[in-house]
Amino acid sequence: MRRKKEKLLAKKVKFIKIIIFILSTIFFLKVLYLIFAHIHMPPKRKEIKDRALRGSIISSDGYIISRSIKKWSASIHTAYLDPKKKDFFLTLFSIYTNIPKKELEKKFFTKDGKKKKGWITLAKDLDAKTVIFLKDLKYKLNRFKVFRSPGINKNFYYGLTLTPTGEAREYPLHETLSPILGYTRNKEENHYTKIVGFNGIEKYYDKYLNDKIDGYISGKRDVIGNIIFDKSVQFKQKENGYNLVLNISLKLQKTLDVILDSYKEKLHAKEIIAAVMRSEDSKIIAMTSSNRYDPLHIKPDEIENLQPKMISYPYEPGSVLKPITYAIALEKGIITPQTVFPTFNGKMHVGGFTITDDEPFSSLSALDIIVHSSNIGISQIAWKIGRKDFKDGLLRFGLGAQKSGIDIGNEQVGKIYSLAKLRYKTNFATTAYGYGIHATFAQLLKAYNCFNNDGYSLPPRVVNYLTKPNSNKKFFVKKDYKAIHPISAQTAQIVKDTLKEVVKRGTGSAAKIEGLEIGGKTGTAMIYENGKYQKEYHASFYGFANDKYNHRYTIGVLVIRPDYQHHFASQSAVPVFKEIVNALIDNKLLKPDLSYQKQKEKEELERQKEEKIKEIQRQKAKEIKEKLRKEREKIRKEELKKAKSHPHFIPSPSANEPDLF
Amino acid sequence: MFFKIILDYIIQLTKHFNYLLIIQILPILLISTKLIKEMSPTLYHKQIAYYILSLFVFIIASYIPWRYLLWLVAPLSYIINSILLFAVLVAGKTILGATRWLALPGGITIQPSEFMKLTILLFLAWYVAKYPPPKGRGYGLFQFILLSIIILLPSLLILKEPDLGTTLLLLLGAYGVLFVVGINWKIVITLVVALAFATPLAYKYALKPYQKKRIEDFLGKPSYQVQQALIAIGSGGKEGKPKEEATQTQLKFLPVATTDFIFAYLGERFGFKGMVIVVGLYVLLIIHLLIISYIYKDDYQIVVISSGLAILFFVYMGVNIYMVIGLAPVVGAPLPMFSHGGTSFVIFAFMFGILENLISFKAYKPYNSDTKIDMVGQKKDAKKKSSLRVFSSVG
Repeated sequence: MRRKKEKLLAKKVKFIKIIIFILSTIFFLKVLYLIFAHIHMPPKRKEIKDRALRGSIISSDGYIISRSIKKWSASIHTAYLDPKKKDFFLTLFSIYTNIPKKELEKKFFTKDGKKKKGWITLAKDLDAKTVIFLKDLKYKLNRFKVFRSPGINKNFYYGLTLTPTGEAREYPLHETLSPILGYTRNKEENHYTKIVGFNGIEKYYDKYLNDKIDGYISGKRDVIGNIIFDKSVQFKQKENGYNLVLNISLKLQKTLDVILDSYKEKLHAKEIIAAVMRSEDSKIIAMTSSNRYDPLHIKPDEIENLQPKMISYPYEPGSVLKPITYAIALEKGIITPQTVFPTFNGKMHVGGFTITDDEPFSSLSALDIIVHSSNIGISQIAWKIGRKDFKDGLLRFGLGAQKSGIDIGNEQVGKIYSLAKLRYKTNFATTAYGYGIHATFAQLLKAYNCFNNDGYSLPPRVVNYLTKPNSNKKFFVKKDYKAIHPISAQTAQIVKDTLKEVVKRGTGSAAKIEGLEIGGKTGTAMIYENGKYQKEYHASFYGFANDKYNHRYTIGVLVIRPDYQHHFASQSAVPVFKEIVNALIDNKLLKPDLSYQKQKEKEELERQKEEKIKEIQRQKAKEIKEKLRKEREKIRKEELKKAKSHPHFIPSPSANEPDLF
Repeated sequence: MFFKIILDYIIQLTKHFNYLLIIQILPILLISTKLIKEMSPTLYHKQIAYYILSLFVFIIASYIPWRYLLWLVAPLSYIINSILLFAVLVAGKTILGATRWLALPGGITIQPSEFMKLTILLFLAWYVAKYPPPKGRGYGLFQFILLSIIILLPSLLILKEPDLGTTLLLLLGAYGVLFVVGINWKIVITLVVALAFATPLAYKYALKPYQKKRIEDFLGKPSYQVQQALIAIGSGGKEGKPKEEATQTQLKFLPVATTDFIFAYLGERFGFKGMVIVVGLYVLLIIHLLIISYIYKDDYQIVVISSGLAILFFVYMGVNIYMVIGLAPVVGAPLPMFSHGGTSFVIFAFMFGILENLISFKAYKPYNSDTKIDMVGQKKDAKKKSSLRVFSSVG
């Protein structure tokens, strides 16, 4: 009996020991698993990014036309906001950000009226200035203990949190330069908004504008997530993208804007495009359109204006092409300006098709063919060249299916009949006087520049150079920038003289200005629409204006659909051209070489003008001073009255006493 | 004469005292003290004060002649403690939704449920010694029901507070003792089967929502505290980390690191090695206690107290460690004699004191001529007589 009991107790003790052994084994296995298993821990280092910005676009006279700014958002965590101080906080926040308090209160609730928990974004798109004030507010809020920790660790809480959310593009001058400047779009990347150029200069130079390196501070972090500034901390200065400095001066551009706007109204045109280019290096110093838009607020009816027409609107140029045909023939040595062609009194039949002239002549010299814009004459010159040489010549001038190389994004190309189609005499003839061929404004401007630049052709350039902020280094983009030599200097000179004749006694006579060397060619082309030529026109004038002091400018004007009254280029495009030349003179870019007396008269006029302005200014200053004096006197009188009732009151000094400043 | 008796008593105590038990506990205390000192010097001073207090309690407990007072102390303390528990339900102090404390005048609060494990053990020791189980068979059904009522009454009172953790630990301890002492195997099997069926029902109907949530948390993703504890243990590695690098604890990620989660800090500080040593020390202690109950298997008082201590140690340690490593739900079970805390430590010291006293006076005989003769003759009778003689002379 006793032994049985002993055995039983021994068994029980053994049983308990086995349980202890099993449980201990489980425990050790678990601990070993914990030691060797991978447990996810937050990284021990932290990096704070200092985002770099896209570069700015600056005019040649130093005005910022397009720039990027950082946008911030302000958010709070509901768990850390003291509910008793919520109203106090919202009142202050509303004052600092100028957001109505009611709107802020709404953000604490979801759409179905439930209370939100966790992070709430109170304001988006805050600019840097507001953020500086908000940072100050944040400090004050912490002092007022508006935010506190709901948990055990009282040192740790989230206050007002300001985070950069991205970039925004700003256009301080709104619609100025708009069609060629282009516009941008936002691109979300890791909760950060980036700017991508979508059109115009913004697109062409997107790679350089966005060539930036974000700065950062990285180092070990503490529990709350602040960086510990020990020797392992790494800094990197941010580097913004390249700034673009344009050849365009804002002053001239604005003057052109005003001219085009007024002429658009006068001519009832759909749009007017104009550009001024320095001949020797193809720098565009002004290029504008009458249809501009604010890139930040594009209205629905402006959508067709988004593409700059200078580069994306191939049209049939009409007579403007004649000097080019003429130049090709001259270069080939087939004709001289004095070569005479029969013009059949203004009517010539070619294969069931009649070519007509506006002015009937029995015969004309080559020079007169250009001056009188004879379709019949230029057709015969073209036929003499031969279709292959003709087409090659056009291509050398930069026409046809090739880009002008201008540094504006999304450029379109023109169109020339294929060699097979040029076999037909009619096609050949129409091409020679500018129908059936399509060219963009930029292509034609580039081609005309040859005549004024000794036969050399360079792609037009809107941007002068690139530069990094806080650096004087200049970078040039050489892409697409190659000079070609379509015609010799002599040929260029002959064509130039011919074009001067056009202004002297031909269709361009309205552009005449004394003391300047002006030449050019008008073109009035019907618009082909819905299967036939309409009574709508493209009136254009391409030419040059030089002075004695080696200032040479190539200028192009295109009026799209003027009303019928003004549909001739001589009535629409030429006056605009003249206004532009006058603007160049006013901006001291051209200096007319006048006779001594006329020069004197002009100077006298200017002097008088200035005198008048000064007189007016003086008058105004006097008036203002008088007004101020009276006002002060009045205040003083009132104060003196008060002084009688209050014996210790000291009145402000009399207005007649001299000011300290 | 009086001094001689006292001297005899002291000599007997020092002679038969189980020193090994005390030596086994000391390294546990040393490690615990080191950890607490590292975490908080103020707590360390408090802990030292508790040690001194416990030393006194231990000495006093080991000098009280329990064998002759148990018949009075055990039922009396049981009744008083039950009344206190009832008083808690009626006029207790509520902290964090649980009514577990009694506010005494003078700003002292006591937690009667903490004393209940001591009281129950004393009661069982007295009862089992008085009505030992039939040899070889264990307690029958009637005795078992009677004992169950004694155990379940305070347990229900504690459960009502609510304090599920303490209730379960108390039940495990008490029934564990009964298991060691001996219950009819049929009852054991019936009980196990009934428990297996009752558990799901109890989960559905008896538990409060927060208790359910704890268990669900345990079965699903570990709670924040347990996560931090796991990180602490995991980052300790094999060798542990120096104090400065034990960031989980020093930066206060680990909650209640000095009491319930002290084992996690041990893991972070001394690594796998340290944990093996501490668990090993506990296992050795428990086994030693079990061996004591086996050696003195005839003396039910010793069997109940030593096996009770062993099972309490085992259950508390097991639940605490398993809770820390995420294998058991989080209940407020301290690591016995390791966590910082006064009450629990003093109670354990008291129990050790009782055990030492019982062991020391297992074969106490005043050294005189009678006993010499008795030692040759019947042991049992001699013991009874001689002990009676001693105390009658005191009186």
